[in-house]
Amino acid sequence: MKKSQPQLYFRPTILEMDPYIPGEQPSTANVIKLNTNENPYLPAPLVFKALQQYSKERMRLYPPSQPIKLIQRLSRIYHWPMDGILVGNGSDEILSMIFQAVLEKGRSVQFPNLTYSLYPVLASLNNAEIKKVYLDNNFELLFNQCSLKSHLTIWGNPNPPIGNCFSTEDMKKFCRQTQGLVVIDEAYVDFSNASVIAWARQFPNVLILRTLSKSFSLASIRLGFVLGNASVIHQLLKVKNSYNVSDLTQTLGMAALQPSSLTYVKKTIQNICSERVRLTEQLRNQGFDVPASQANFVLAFHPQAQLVYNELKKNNIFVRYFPYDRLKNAIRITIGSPNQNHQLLKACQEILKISKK
Amino acid sequence: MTTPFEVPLRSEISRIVSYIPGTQIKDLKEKFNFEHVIKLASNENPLGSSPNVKKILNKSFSDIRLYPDGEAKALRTSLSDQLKVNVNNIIVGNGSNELIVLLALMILKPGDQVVFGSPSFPVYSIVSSMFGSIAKPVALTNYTFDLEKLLDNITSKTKIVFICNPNNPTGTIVSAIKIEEFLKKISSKILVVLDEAYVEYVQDQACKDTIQLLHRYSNLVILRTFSKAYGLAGLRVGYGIAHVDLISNLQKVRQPFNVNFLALKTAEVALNDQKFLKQVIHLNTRMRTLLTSQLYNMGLSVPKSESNFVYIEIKDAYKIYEKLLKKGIIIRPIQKNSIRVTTGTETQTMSFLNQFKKII
Repeated sequence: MKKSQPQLYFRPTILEMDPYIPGEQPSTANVIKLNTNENPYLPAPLVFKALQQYSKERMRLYPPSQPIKLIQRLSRIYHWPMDGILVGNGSDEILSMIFQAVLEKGRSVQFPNLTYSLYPVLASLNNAEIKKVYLDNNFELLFNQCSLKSHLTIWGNPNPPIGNCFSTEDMKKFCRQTQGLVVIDEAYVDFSNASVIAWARQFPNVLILRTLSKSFSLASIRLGFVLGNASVIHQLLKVKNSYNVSDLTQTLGMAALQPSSLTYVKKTIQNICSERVRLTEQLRNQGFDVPASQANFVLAFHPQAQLVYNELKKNNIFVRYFPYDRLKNAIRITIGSPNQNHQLLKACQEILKISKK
Repeated sequence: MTTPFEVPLRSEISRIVSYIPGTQIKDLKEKFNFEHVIKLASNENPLGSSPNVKKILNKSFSDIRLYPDGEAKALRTSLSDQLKVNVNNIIVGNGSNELIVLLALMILKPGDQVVFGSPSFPVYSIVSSMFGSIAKPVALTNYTFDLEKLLDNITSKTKIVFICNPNNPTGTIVSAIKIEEFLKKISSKILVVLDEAYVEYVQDQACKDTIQLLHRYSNLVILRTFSKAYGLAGLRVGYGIAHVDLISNLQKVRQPFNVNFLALKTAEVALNDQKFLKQVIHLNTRMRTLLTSQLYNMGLSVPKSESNFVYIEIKDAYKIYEKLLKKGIIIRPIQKNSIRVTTGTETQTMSFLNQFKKII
């Protein structure tokens, strides 16, 4: 094809921005994949049934633009008004809608210096100024250093890649005082008891973001939602693509939110949480420094972290290594099945033993 | 939640007029308590998708817990083989609609201008206002995109031109030669989006081969979809073909996992069943001819459609729409004096024609 000059038509921000880098998706079989916070358990049996029963007739038709049934179901589960719920093609899409609706040149967004790495990508996409708020030595967000004037503030609850939850009192105080919109990203909250849903409804400027990718084992179908004030949701709907959530995704999502599925999910969450306790303890025994996590992953610090990451990969065990200064001695490990965690621990032990010699 | 919301959103947002999707089968069934509803409103495929699609779904359960391949390598490789273009010239989106939004996001700034024919796909105008740009709809000539008139409307502020080919809602088409003449005359700084959502249905050979234009025009992007001829509207997969620099920038701005895994899988299977596609096209051509000739016999003016729908100019469009609804048939009113009818199976198409004759 002819040589082009992209600088002629792309916005400068696009040309300059760094893309989001997802974790590796190895295609070989027999790998232990603990690098992208996927759930080791299969989705609830009802989801399988819904997939088997899904009719071809439905596939040929456009999905409902607003997934009313799903919204009804979510409204009942989370006791949230229907007009305050928006469903997206994964919570990533909702993030992108929020950033797009709120930010532009001359406006700013703030988030912790360590958090979900998609936020800075979306911020630069929308020409916004990025203010990073530093986490202290205990990875607590210093809310007193947050600007009350930023148009948008966002953090994870729990906050990746550490998995800790910030103080409720601090969060509340900030939500009350800020003039901007606050997004609390609860992608991992089902693995904790820390959801802000109970109190955040009193703040019209707070959006709570959720996904079915983690606790519901549905990463592949792309389903997320946001709870907020109806007036905010109303505006966000304007930037929504007309048919953003696939009909099959809506159908499987409905199956995943039935009472029996919720019971199933609760059990798998319990298993993951008790594995988290075990994994944390044993990694600490091996000399890793592991801050307490309330998510389905742990961040493990070790002077030899990068070596461990590389050696694990040679053993077909994938964990995540982030090339940031403060994390250069850390690996993030998704909590796997008991057997996967066992393999991981065994491999780590071997690697560290050899490296000591 | 009674406290008013005061966070200022970008001023463009309040000016966006939301897209209004067509009436859904379920809505109508509930409203009139119909058992069967014929939906000829959203240009969906009456034959659905390849029989292989359902099989792959049943096999996919164990991978549902994992993130999809964000780069859609397998599907892009299949597309690359079939279209004879490099994998790096292809991007897959959550429907081609997503790709339209991403293109606009990459390029448009407040004050820029976007040129397209009118009436055409409403999303062109929506995305323009989404980024504060000015939409410049240019009236069709004989129901067809008038590229010379489009040219007259291009100014130094024009950043994107949308050409819907075949055009939705009129079904008309312009030839590849005309598109090339247009591309020759405009600056290579202006992105030309050739929206070919319905291209598989085109019979006119002079209009089909647009991909070769990509070799000569780096500012051209072709958008296609699995929603129409491949019968996968419910699953949301579309794709774009363009210069590698455009595609790599699009890859930067899309969400990391924009297309769901089941959509990627089914699209790949559907693409590889070209035999089924032939049946779809064959039925469509027959039904299009049937609709056109019967409507013509009724004395109605119907532009020559190269798509899977026909456009009918007729008074009291909304009344006709309402009357057909009561008979369990959904069509799409476009303006107060026009409707759009999707081709159905033979039975569906005949039912529409019979009811329509009675109504008018």
